Amino acid sequence: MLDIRNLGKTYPNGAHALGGIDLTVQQGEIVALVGGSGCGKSTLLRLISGLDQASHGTVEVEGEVIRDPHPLVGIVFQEPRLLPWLSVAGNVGFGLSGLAPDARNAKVAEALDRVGLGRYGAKWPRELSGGQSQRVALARALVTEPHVLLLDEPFSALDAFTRADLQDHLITLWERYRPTLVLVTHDIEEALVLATRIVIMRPNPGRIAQSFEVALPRPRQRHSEAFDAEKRRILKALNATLAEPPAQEDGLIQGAGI
Amino acid sequence: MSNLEIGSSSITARETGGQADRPAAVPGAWGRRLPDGLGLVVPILVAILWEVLVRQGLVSGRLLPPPSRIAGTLMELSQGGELLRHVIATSARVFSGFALGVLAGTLLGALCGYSTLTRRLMDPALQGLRAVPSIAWVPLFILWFGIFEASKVALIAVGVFFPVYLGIMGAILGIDRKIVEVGRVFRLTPLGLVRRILLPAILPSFVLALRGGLGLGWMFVVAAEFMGASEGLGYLLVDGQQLGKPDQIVAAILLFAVLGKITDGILSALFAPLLRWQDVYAGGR
Repeated sequence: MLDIRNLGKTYPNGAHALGGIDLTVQQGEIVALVGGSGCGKSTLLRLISGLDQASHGTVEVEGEVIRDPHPLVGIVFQEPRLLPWLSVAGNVGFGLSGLAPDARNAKVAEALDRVGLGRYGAKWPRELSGGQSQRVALARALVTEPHVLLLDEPFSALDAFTRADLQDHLITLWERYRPTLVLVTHDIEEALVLATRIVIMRPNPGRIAQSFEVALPRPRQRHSEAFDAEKRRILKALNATLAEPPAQEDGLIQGAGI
Repeated sequence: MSNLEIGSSSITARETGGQADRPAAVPGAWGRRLPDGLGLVVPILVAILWEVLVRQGLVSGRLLPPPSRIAGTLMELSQGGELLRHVIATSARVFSGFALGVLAGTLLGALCGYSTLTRRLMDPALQGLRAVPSIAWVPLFILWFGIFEASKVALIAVGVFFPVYLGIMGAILGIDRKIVEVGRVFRLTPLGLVRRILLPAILPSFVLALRGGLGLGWMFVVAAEFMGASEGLGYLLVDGQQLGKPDQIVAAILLFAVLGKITDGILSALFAPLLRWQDVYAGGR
């Protein structure tokens, strides 16, 4: 379980990036954080990951307080961030420590298999396409079996086909391990395809405006009646949130990629 | 899924053919593989042209002797091992000075790159010293270390130090924060971060800095040997000037060119296996 209480972040320059965030995510949930630029989504994710420190409030995973990067929390960034001097297998095994070489190799091979890149272990990162690189990043984050996996707009730099492919891949992986996923996205459709819950955030300071359960069965069909109906429901709610005073002009709509 | 596999099939096909590391034969601009000795064409053509001009009596060749005379001088010098003695003397100076300069440059460059405090403390002074023309040290070094090997090696070390120092410090300061963050996510210790992220990340710049340093080492050895030496290629230059032997001067110059090129090639070849991962343009190969 991921438990966030009264979490806030003010940068040294006085920028109030995040107000008090309260959010509880059950094990195996997929939460999509949606909102325009500057609403604190990425800040929130970095606080959960322990890469940045909160000004106030706490993040707990399985009862453990997160202050620094923690083995229970993994993260996939917007860019693959592979280490170019390591082979694909070397990258996937980068975070595996304290294992015998055999056990380590087996784990890496299994992780690569699961992202569909079983034969790519010996390649250099420069030989991969964007989508393949991001799959390697996914394998690298999952091989250490984190309870919570954070994804910061992981597919936004990819073309539409590759993005859809990776979304399906992520769900397959999720169904196998059932980690908790917290995903930052600009794309309402992506949120609808993936999430069990959509959390809409607003800026100045970043805070949670609204939260929806996504009532769609899996596997989700991107172009079904039900999908479109759900999308309309979310968009309506989004617009309603926008209309609320004191609404920030910084548009949620535009940020939602519609 | 299917969309992706189409794009990657060519890579997979290459993989089955063995090491899919890099294409074996790199085609040149016209689609053919360029021969290895291409770089020799221009010097050889110039040499032949000069030889012919001198033989035909079109130029005198007194101040710039033709290749055949230079070759003769080289043969003459190499008899009895005299040439070898000069080459070894000069190379030994370059390598001692290079080793010292690289050691000091790496150490201080790493310290100043890694720690802001050290950088604020040391870098301005070092940059100031860098602005001193290195030859200006010569009188001081002679007073300090005498006129024999120590002052020569010190001068070469100073010449090597600065490109290495700057290269290392710049490389560390330029490491991508995002890559360092990957190390943090996986909770590397400070030592692990240095070993697994920082060192490999700066390696390409380090090799460049070493090559620059080595080039300067060869440059400074001449200045050092002008200070007064009884052997070495620099001595051959001075000796050739004083005794009016241009063929000996040109022979020594050619030896510098060859030695510099060979040592640079060795340095590059030593590090090449560690840099195969680089995704480089390489001038279109």
